[in-house]
Amino acid sequence: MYVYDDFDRILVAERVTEFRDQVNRRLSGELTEDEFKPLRLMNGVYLQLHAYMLRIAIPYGTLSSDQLRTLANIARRYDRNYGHFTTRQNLQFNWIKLSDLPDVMADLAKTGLHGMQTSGNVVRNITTDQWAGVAPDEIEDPRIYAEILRQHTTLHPEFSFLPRKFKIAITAATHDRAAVRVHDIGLRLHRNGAREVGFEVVVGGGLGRTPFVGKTIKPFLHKRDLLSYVEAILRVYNQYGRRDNIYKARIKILVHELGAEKFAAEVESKWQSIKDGALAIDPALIANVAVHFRYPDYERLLDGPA
Amino acid sequence: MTAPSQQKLKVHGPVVVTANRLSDGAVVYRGRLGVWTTQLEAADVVTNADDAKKLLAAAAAQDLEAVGPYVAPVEINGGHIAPGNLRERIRVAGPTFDLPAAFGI
Repeated sequence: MYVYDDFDRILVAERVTEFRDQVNRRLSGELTEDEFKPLRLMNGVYLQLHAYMLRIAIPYGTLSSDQLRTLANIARRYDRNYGHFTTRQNLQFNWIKLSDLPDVMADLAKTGLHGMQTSGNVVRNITTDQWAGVAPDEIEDPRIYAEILRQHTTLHPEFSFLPRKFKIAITAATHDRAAVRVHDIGLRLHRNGAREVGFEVVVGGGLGRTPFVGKTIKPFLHKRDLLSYVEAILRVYNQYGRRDNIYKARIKILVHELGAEKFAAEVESKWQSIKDGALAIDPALIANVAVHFRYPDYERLLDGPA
Repeated sequence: MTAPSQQKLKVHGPVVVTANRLSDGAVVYRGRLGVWTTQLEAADVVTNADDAKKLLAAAAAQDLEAVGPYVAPVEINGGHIAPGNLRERIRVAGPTFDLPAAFGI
């Protein structure tokens, strides 16, 4: 799993302090619900039919035993002894009290857990193959690139008010277990004719009431260009995505209405102006993120049926 | 966006004002004495748009106790108040599937 460094730990701890203040101001009447709602939604807190719900990000679906124990403790202490794992590798507590939420977040933060990027019109928890890191059919560990994207988009001011939520999935395997073609952006790591490893970029996929299979707008993208290209997609979506109708606000509608070719041309135009700037990924960054992923001492076994 | 108190209300039959409690999100109803209650039976029932608007305006003014007040239909059966549509039946009865407690968790 990915092990947070000091920067990450401070970021999460500061978020708890900020959220505690926001909750206190709401409970004292200093903030109205209209003012408070966007703040709670930046921390994974929804008000649903029967109670508040807290959604906690579990990047790449992996938890340490400390984190799992923390979640169990929160379920017992603040909820009803259970939580709900979601299809996108998060965990939801469905009966949390607003007044308890700052303490819950503080407990979560002690083991590096939080609710950032799990709600609101932002880039959500980035998902990968559930067997990423150990899948025999993958060419690289896709979580490294998911983590680079996660760090770049977390609390990114330009992408905190997108037209609608935004979901990215990455696979590096021949068998797409991450379902990348039904995500807002799907990224498939593969080799080109020159045996270089890069991404096929798919946009505009989705399920729900208007299902679409995503369209490939870049058959091969070099790894150095991942951040700048994704940023260009987000900028096109932010500029042209519909905000007048919640049911037509996802990028799949924009890609469908504009057409994949026109959408790709818009992205290409934006990308050309930023691709060689600060967002170009240095191989040293990839290596640095990779060392933060700790692998258990796996036993080496032969593939195939026992 | 139009504030709830300024929205055109169409009232065809008995209605109550309902919301979620700020502290824990529980379903609450505007009661007869102007207090919030978790008991639908204790809700203030009105039958015309003007009264519903007044009830809603008073509820919205108490933003510190309840969140997102709106007008919901009810049915009066033998003097008892019952929810008037599926959404409100679910809000009264709770989730429509067996919660883990039903399995001893």
